[in-house]
Amino acid sequence: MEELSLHILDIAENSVNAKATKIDIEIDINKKENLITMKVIDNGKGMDEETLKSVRDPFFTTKTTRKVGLGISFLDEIAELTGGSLEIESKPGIGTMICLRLPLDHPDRPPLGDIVSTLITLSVTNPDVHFYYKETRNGDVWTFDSEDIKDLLGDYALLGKVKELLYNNYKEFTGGELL
Amino acid sequence: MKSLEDLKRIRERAQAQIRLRTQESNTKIIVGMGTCGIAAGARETLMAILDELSKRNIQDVVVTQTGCVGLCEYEPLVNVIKPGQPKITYMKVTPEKARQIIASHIVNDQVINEWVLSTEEGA
Repeated sequence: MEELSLHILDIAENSVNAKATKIDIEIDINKKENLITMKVIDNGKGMDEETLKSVRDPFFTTKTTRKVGLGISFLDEIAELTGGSLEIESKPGIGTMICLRLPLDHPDRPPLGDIVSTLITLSVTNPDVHFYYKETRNGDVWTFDSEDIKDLLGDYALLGKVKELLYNNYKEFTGGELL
Repeated sequence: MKSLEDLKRIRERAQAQIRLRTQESNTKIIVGMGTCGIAAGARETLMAILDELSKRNIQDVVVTQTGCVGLCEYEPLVNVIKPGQPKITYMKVTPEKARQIIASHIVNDQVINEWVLSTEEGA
């Protein structure tokens, strides 16, 4: 996967499958420290210690439809490739927190990509889950809350306008800078 | 359209539409959104579906996602379930194909057989 926003979609879908009802996604970009931090925190069913130990292994999965589980191992690989880190905390019945820290200027660091598409995809296809996104760029903050658009999701004509609005808002926040 | 507040003002209309779309008789479009689907481009396929529904002002369709079903090599997979009809699974659905599926299958009731991976009766 070529964008961090696609990994975010993938990890958040894991949270949905773990029966999470609230998923917080945080991106922090700190140029001074040359660091991009991505966190996905959910209130899903969590993992026991044994599962947690195996979760970075690409040949481990809880799925029964296939024998490989690549989502987390992709992140682990990116961390290794760029000299970053991947931290996973989980408690059964409480939830899971995944934190990926990467050097901003490393050539193998995937770009953040189309985060707005990821947020719309998550919100539309999982209307019962509350998604909250917070991006910080050198102190400036942009947020998205699926509760704000929840009532608009059923109307596809309005959704087109919501999409346009979010793209414009986000572009205003980033100043068009692609990271 | 300046802010989310403006959009909220038209909430009432949207809520009526939600009531409409949650009726069980609605058509369902299900996009495979497992790691394999996402890596194969499922997000862009889904965005194209939403865009096409929006352009055509189609309301009585529910768009949702499913995880990996073990057919990773055929992703992005898109299932179309119309009331009283078998479940049609389309394979390798690019955004362009997705737009054609909306026009042909959703609007005109014509299944695009060439792209069908499987047909499941009684879905």
